[in-house]
Amino acid sequence: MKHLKREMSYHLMLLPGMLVLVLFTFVPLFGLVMAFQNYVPAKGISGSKFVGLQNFKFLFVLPDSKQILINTLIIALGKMILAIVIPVCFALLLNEIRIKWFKKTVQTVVYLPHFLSWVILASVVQFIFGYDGPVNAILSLFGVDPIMFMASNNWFRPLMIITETWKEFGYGSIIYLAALTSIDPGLYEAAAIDGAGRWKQMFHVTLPGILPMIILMTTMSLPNILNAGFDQIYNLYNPLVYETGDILDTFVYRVGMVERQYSLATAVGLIKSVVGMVLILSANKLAGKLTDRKIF
Amino acid sequence: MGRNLREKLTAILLVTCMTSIMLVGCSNNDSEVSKSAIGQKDSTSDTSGDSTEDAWMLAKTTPDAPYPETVIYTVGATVTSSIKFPEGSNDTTTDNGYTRLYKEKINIQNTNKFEASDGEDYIQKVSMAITTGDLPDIMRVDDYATFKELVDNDLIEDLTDAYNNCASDLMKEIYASNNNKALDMATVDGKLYAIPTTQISGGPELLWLRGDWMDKLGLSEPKTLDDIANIIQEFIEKDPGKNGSGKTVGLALIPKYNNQFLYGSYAGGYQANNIFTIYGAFPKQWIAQADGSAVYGSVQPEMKQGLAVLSDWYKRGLIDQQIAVRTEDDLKGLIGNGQCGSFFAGWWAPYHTVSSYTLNPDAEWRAYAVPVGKDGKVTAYTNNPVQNYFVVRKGYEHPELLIKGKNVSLAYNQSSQAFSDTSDTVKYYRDTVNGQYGLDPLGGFDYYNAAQLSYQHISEALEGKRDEHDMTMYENTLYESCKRYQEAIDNNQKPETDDWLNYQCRIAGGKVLNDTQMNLVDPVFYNQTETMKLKWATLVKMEEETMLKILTNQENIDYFDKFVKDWKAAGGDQITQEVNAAIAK
Repeated sequence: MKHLKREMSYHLMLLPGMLVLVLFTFVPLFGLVMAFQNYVPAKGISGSKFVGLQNFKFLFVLPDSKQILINTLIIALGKMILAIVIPVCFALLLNEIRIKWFKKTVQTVVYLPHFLSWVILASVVQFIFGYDGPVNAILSLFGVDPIMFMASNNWFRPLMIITETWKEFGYGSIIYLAALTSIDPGLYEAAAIDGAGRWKQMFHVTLPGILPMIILMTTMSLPNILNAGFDQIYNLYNPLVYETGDILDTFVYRVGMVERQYSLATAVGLIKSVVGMVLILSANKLAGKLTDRKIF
Repeated sequence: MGRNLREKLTAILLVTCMTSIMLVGCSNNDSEVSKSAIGQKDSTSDTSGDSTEDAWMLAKTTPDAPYPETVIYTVGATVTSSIKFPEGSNDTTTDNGYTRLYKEKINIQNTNKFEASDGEDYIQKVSMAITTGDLPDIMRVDDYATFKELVDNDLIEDLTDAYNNCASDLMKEIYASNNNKALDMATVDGKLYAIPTTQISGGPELLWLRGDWMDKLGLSEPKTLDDIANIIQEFIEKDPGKNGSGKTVGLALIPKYNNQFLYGSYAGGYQANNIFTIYGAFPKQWIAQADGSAVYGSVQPEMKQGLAVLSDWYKRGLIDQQIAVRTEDDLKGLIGNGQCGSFFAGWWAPYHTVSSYTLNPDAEWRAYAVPVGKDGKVTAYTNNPVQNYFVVRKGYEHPELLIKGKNVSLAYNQSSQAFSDTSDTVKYYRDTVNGQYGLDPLGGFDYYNAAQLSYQHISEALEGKRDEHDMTMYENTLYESCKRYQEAIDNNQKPETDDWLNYQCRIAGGKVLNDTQMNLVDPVFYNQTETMKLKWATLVKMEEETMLKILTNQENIDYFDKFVKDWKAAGGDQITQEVNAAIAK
């Protein structure tokens, strides 16, 4: 406080930024009230009727809400796990490559799909796994009958998880590659002198070295537990795979198409945020207990 | 010290600038609003003197008398991305061929309250305007629910008197072409609250078949379901398109794609409606039964018969085996590259077959209104008679302006007046505006049987029985194109793609539509009920999943009965009751 006068100009410079933050981050939070209302655009937030938890209840009494939640959780969890495991493995393997140009080329090529939207990739996936696409052509060489992957309830979920991982693992590995470069080479030398081979070095030097990053990324990905990937699934699903592929977001989207349901959409958003926050806090605590490495 | 102070001052100045820019950015809209409000007052302020008062009175109570002074009105403008202003003109969204015609004829000028691209963006802006209560003087509303909301909240003007005084005979005639159904839908408690935009009848879907394939195989035109099945089977087995064995795809049907489904569209594409309507099933429609009560078509026992046909066809390979994963573009591709020679679509189907023509000049498509029932007619259900509603803000002092403006639009678009009027504005309208949709602040609407009328007018003109200017501007453009098509054929040349397209749609498709005897069934309800808001999406999901599973033989046909039971229990019964209550009102 006593420096206030001296620092006045700096505080003033902060003001526009703070105003933007308050205006666009905190003020819109009041819109959450809509989740507890039967929101009618013509009446606005102040005029709409409060309905308590009706919008939330609705989500859980639907005949297919259980199925939708299970689909969402399975697909989202599958994606989250692979989004950690594959990029870490990939980064470790790539790190062992000594030919520089090859390493760089691979690195660039694998993260290209990240920049393409699912609208485009959906047709690529549909072609590859199509009835007369390359995958079925290869299978037929082994005498397997063609499989309608995109219309099969056995295949839909795995395919969503695999294709999403394929799209994102390259991009996800960048951060681990960066973490790898920051490991002190002295540690490897010391380990080598102590007689550790490549495997031992990987487990006792490299992995612990990037562990904080892995914990950080895992924790950060937890809020996505209810985000199974709208873009991808909306572009790839069809009524035959509703059973395994219909997720929270696609369902709410279809409900919203019938009638502009601001309240319901807000309720879903709120649930997702709350679940995400609980998970992030508990993961942080757990990480602190188990490894002594807390993020915040 | 001095330098320090200067730095501080600069910092403070910068901060103030940035803050004020932000605040100004937020309040900018208000000033615009007040400006247009002032503009309105200007135009009506000095109405002294009897003669001007008479002129005002005349303008207020007759269809085409112009206002003595320019009346400014605000609209919510839809601006499509494809708008191209005529080359070398200074046209803007508020000063162009459309607006100048309105100004010249009845002395009105629009300003835009908001501009939005058509579709979701526009709907959002309308919601916003309703939320803030700051409506433009004239606004288009796209759905009945919103229109009803406006009526219930007393936000829009009663247009009954204005319509009675100012609607032109042409407007009345166009509404009468569909028995005034559109007006009925815009009427609440006996009062007219909107000028509805009519829906053009698309007729039933027609079965489009590759005619050159039929000739090659010596197949005659189909009438019944068995005929159709037979033709498709021949197409697949004998491979007249030389696609290689097993490569020819059967009947193309759309699965779920955006809002489309296998059935339920109105003169849509890749639909299976005709296979249901022949059994008296009307999928996705609310249909009145003999006792007057409404039921949902997709859960009636008649549906089962249609489904049985489809699942049988799928088993026999007559329906595209990959139906579940097709998008509209996929199907267009199959048709374009000659892999598929059969699909149901409205008279406009050549827009989807055109690439087959550009790739292979021999490709010829024929349209059939089939399958026909015992009476020799195809059965179809009709569409919602209203496309959208034009409403006037409550308290606007010239509610009749909307109707008078529409009179002008109709006169120049739905009659031959565009050719008989020789004014420069009209010439500009005819030469440059014609066919360029999107910037008309008011817009018009068309006869219910517009597609049939255009076929009649164009074909009569082609035969020399009608003057080429005795039709609307748009029909004349199509006529010119069809004439070029015929000339090219006569001279043994390949017609231009556009001319081919227009001829196939308007003459080939239009003829079938015009000559077909059909049984038309009017659904009784097109809107939403309270429970639908929450439960309809679930029911639709249930329905579409079931239908596709039965069609693709994943489930037995009797699975339909279980679906009907589940559908009723999951809210279907309740919604049916609500629909009946809404109709009874």
